[in-house]
Amino acid sequence: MSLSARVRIPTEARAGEVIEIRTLVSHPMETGFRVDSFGRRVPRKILTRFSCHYDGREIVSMDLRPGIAANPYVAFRFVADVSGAIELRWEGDEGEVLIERSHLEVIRA
Amino acid sequence: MKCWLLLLLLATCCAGADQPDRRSGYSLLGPDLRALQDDDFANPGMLWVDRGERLWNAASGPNQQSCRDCHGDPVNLRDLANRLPRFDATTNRLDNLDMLIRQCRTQRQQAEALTHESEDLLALTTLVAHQSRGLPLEVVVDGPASTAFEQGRASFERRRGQLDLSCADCHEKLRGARLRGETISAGMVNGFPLYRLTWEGLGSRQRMIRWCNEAVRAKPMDPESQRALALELYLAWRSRGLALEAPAVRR
Amino acid sequence: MKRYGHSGLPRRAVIQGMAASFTLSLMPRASAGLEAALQARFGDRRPDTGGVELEVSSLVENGNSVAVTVRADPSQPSPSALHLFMPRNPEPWGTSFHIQPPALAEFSTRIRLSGSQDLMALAEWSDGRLGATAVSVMVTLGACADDLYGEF
Ligand code: HEC
Ligand code: HEC
Repeated sequence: MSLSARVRIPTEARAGEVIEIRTLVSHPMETGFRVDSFGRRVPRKILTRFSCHYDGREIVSMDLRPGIAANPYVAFRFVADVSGAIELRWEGDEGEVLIERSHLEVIRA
Repeated sequence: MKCWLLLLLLATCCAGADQPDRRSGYSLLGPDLRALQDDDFANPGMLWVDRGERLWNAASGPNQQSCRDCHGDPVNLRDLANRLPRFDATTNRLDNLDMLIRQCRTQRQQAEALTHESEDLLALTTLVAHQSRGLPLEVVVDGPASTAFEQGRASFERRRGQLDLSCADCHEKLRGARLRGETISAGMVNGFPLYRLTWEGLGSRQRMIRWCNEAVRAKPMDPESQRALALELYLAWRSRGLALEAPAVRR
Repeated sequence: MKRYGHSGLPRRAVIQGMAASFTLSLMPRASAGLEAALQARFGDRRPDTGGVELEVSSLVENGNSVAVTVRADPSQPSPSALHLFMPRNPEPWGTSFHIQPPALAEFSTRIRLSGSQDLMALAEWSDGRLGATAVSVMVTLGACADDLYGEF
């Protein structure tokens, strides 16, 4: 299936609030260790990197290896400190890139 | 495959009861996989629902029409998937959801055909089936459908393949037996299209039938043949009353 | 049932009076592959026990998709990275998760396990210090490199 993502990103938070981002992306994460019914090795095809930029800062990056399950799921948390853009990015070993953007509005109490 | 055979023989000695039991395959899942199915965000099958939504809204064909242009919201097709396959008295044959969508695609939308088990077709069938989540399976098996229904029942009970086992042998007599880490379920179809971890992907009822046929080394069935649809009808009838779960998650 | 590895292994370590350093030989099913993977990433640095938690089911139905959460011990300063190793997989290095504030040192994902094994989570601090924990996981249906299920 073509590369596409499901993301859950809050659009609003109170300053200092811990918020969670959940992501699910369609990708086979073909390990390169599997053998097909003709005994041929299925070539590796994986996503290699996931990252999150928040207000221009890369707050999270993750190396993805063949041991990550097909259709990778990643969730993480951070402290909402400023209003800003959120950019989630996945990169694959065939040069493919998927980007999801949103905006987080931080409300000062 | 040799392991299957061996373990199957071992499993035979602890074969379970064969009274009818209509329990969803969900009941055999552990807490982690139940949670995965129940989590509408993380359930990987929802990736196909999303893709189905994009296709639903995409204009195609000579008149640049989308499914939405004619059908409106997908929810308008609620209460359909749970009633399929269904016998069409005008064409004198059974249709399942895949075929209804493929027909509509070529005949009404006049767009290029969707191939069987293609990701696009799976996305649309999953989207449409998902609309009926929670509704009980309820297929018509009498009247003009009765001949097909009896064919389906016979097919379910017919031994096949190098292992010489029928669907009923495994899903009724050996129900509950362990087979290489798997527990054989009652063979219900209320979860489809569903995400199987073994496939690392989504599959239709017909893909499951193919998988089981291959497991006993039987000749594959043409998934659009009336024979295959009759078996699907029987499976849906066996699952009657169970709530549709699409997209379910299974091992 | 979830199993939490804080110092699951460490318990054994404590009994043997060697709580300080996380010794691979204490992992009953450690592998040469794991040693090589650790060497490749950390050189001669070896982890202490603790400082990181690993949350995973102790009994897994299908190794193709196993939920895991790795988090740093919140009572310590935040590490700069969390790592996860699956020693018995064809490739033991599972993932590395790099953290900058205001991100919390915690992530959840789903992994493949090719069989029962002791998963190992590591926290890495910017001063080079490493902390580790391990959790045993039983897998009834392994992620398949074999032909049994792959092609159906
Ligand atoms: C060798 C034993 C065996 C035979 C024979 C067999 N199956 Fe299966 N079947 C399995 C196993 C194992 C599974 C996966 C575990 C489960 O859900 O039962 C399965 C799963 C299924 C499922 C999915 C159940 C769910 O909850 O999603 C259906 C439907 C099914 N089989 C139908 C059939 C049909 C139809 C036939 C005959 C063509 C058949 N099976 C023959 C072993 C068998
Ligand atoms: C040009 C208008 C048009 C377009 C475009 C169209 N359909 Fe249809 N579709 C119809 C009509 C009309 C029917 C018959 C309605 C009925 O029988 O109630 C139908 C029937 C169906 C049915 C069977 C419904 C039932 O209750 O039996 C399905 C499923 C379906 N369409 C799916 C789709 C999908 C998916 C698409 C997009 C790929 C699509 N249709 C595009 C007009 C359209």
